[in-house]
Amino acid sequence: MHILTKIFIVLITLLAVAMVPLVATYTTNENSYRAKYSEVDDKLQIAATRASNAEHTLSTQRLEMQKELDAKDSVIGTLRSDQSNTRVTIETLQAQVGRLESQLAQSNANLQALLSASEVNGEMKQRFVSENYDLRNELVLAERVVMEMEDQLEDAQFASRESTKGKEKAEEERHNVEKQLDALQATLDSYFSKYGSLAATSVVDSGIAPDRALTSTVITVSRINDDVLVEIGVGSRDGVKKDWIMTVGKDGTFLGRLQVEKVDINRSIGRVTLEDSSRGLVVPGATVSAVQGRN
Amino acid sequence: MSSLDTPTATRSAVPDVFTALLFVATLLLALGVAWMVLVNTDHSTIDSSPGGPLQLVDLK
Repeated sequence: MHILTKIFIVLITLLAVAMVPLVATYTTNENSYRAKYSEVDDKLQIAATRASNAEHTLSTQRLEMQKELDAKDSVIGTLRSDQSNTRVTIETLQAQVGRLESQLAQSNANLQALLSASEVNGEMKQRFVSENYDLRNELVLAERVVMEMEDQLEDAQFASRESTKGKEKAEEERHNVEKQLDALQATLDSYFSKYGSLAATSVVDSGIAPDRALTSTVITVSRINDDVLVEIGVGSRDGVKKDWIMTVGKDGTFLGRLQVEKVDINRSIGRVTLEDSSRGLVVPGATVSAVQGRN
Repeated sequence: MSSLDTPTATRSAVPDVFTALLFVATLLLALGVAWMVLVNTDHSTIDSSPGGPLQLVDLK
């Protein structure tokens, strides 16, 4: 047997002896790794299942979140549109506030003007009231004056009516006196033609002849002894003048001669002469007449 | 006297086919041992800690 054969036999023996523990170790480690692999594979399956579930849950949650996100987006859109509307509304309100502020300022100015006008109005009202009181007082006084004037007017109207009646009556009496004078003149003319003119036994050298024909009545008669003063209803308004010579008669009877001594506006006072009680005395109501140019 | 005690070294034996087979078997077995050493060393290396050809791995 060759030496190499022996050496190889020894080497193979040694290698075989060494191979046994190596293979045992390998087998043991392989089993361990296989068990570990099985365990890890089981865990992997479990983890894969869990991952699948988690992924499913995650997808579900993702869908829900997407829905919520969409809803939030829509809400955000709505809120943004509301915000824009609100901004527009705010701008409109600010514009309105500006207008209202300007109106308020204008109103304040108007209020100030009204206050000043009210003050002026109050002063004017006070003045008006005071003037109104004065005017009322004046009106009362004027009404009183008017009433007095109305009373005077009524009195004057009454006097006028009375004077008109008296005037008519005097006209009538004057007419009668003129008739009587005409009759007396005719009688006197026939007397003068039959017996001639009379001697001037009772010439009246005082007094003046009236410048107009006038008739009135005797209002009052005052007698002191033989001095007779009468008041007649005509005066300077009727043209009567002082020293006029008038004739007093009644019912066509000569009662006396009247010489005017005092003339008032509508009254005159005269002295009566040539009075004869056989013909009758001068009494109130007797007729007094003046003939133009005759004394 | 036995044959073992007889001097035979006078003529060396010639390597025959068995020697060749043993040589081949030795090479293959050496390669297998080397491979097993490398594999066991690799398997026993965990978390960069060096392992050994005969080190058992306890993964529990």
